[in-house]
Amino acid sequence: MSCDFEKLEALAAGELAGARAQEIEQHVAGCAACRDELGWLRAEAELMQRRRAAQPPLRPELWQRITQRLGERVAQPQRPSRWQRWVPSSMVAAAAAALLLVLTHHVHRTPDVAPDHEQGLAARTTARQRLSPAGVLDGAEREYRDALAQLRSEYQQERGRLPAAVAARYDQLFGAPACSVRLHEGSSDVNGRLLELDGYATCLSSLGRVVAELQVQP
Amino acid sequence: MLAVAIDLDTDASAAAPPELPPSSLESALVRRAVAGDDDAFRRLFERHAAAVRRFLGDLLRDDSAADEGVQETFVRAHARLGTLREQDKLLPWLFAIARNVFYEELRARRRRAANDAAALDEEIDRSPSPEGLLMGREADTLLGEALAELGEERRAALVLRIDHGLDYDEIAGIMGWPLSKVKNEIHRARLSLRSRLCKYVGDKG
Repeated sequence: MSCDFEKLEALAAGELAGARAQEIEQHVAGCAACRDELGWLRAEAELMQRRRAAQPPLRPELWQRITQRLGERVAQPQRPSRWQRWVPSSMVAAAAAALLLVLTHHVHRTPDVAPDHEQGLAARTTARQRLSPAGVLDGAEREYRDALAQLRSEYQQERGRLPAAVAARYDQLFGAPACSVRLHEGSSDVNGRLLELDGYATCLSSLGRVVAELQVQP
Repeated sequence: MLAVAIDLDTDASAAAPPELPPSSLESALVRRAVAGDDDAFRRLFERHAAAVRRFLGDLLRDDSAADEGVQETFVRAHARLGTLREQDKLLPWLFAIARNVFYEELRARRRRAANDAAALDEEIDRSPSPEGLLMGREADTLLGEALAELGEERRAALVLRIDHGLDYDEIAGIMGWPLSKVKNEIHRARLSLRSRLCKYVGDKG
């Protein structure tokens, strides 16, 4: 055999045994350069072994501090990503939609306190147009759809970096709220439409967390 | 799945056959940790924290900063564990995180000591570590000094190879270098180390 530094390294590290080790040792016996190199490699290994043995034990509080920090992360969520900041929680979305409906209802039913006041009439007319329940829900749904399409596109760009099993798990994760969206999609009932928006919000929130996490990976 | 659970719940020191090979055990622990099992994450910490601590100690040359670096490394690892592609390659992945933590600490130090870069270099690169001084043996002290004389990147590559036993491909992945550069840097680091240790090795002979 010829001189092979990497085999010498493996021999010095104790990674070779049997016939392979014997073959290299035979070569070393007849090769001064390899004998010298092996001497150095064994000296290095011995020094490193001694250094490892002399390493003081880890301070016990190290693990405690890590668990404390992990606990803080759970108790105090990190600064939300741009998606988390943008996407309202499902509760907030539902509450906002409900509030708008109440306001709309109020505008429609409030008696005119000054029916002959032109400015007031114009303002109420604009409010009726702006706060139409169907219009508000349609607008919210459009925004959710646009955001979801953009986020899914970003996820698809990052998805290739995930191990197949993890990607499958994430796909499954996003499947549930997405199903909720599909179940209520096209509903004319207000409650159904609120549930639809709720499904969008949940889906966006979950997907947003994953995309944000993938985007900060090196 | 049941076999994995049984093996994981058995003390690692008890050699009760059949036993998972270390890489399978590691993968199983990673999977459990990703699923939210805190005990599995603690087991991963116990398996690798000492190596990560030694690596950061070699780079930072400061015990307190190295401890902080270990904390930061494992907190980040906990958050990103689900993205680990090769679950049996956890240690190289942890070293890559630790290396980033080291560079962030280095940048912070440089900002703090912007007006005295020379003193900073002296502090980081040339002083023997307290650990080396405490060993008290000449060769160990020489080793500490020789490592401290290397630039931090070359030192990182060398200790990953000769202390932690990583192969050249793994080191290339951690350092973000081509394989040829890894081999070249480690070769040069070894020559530098040997020039300091020749007395020790000569005396041995």
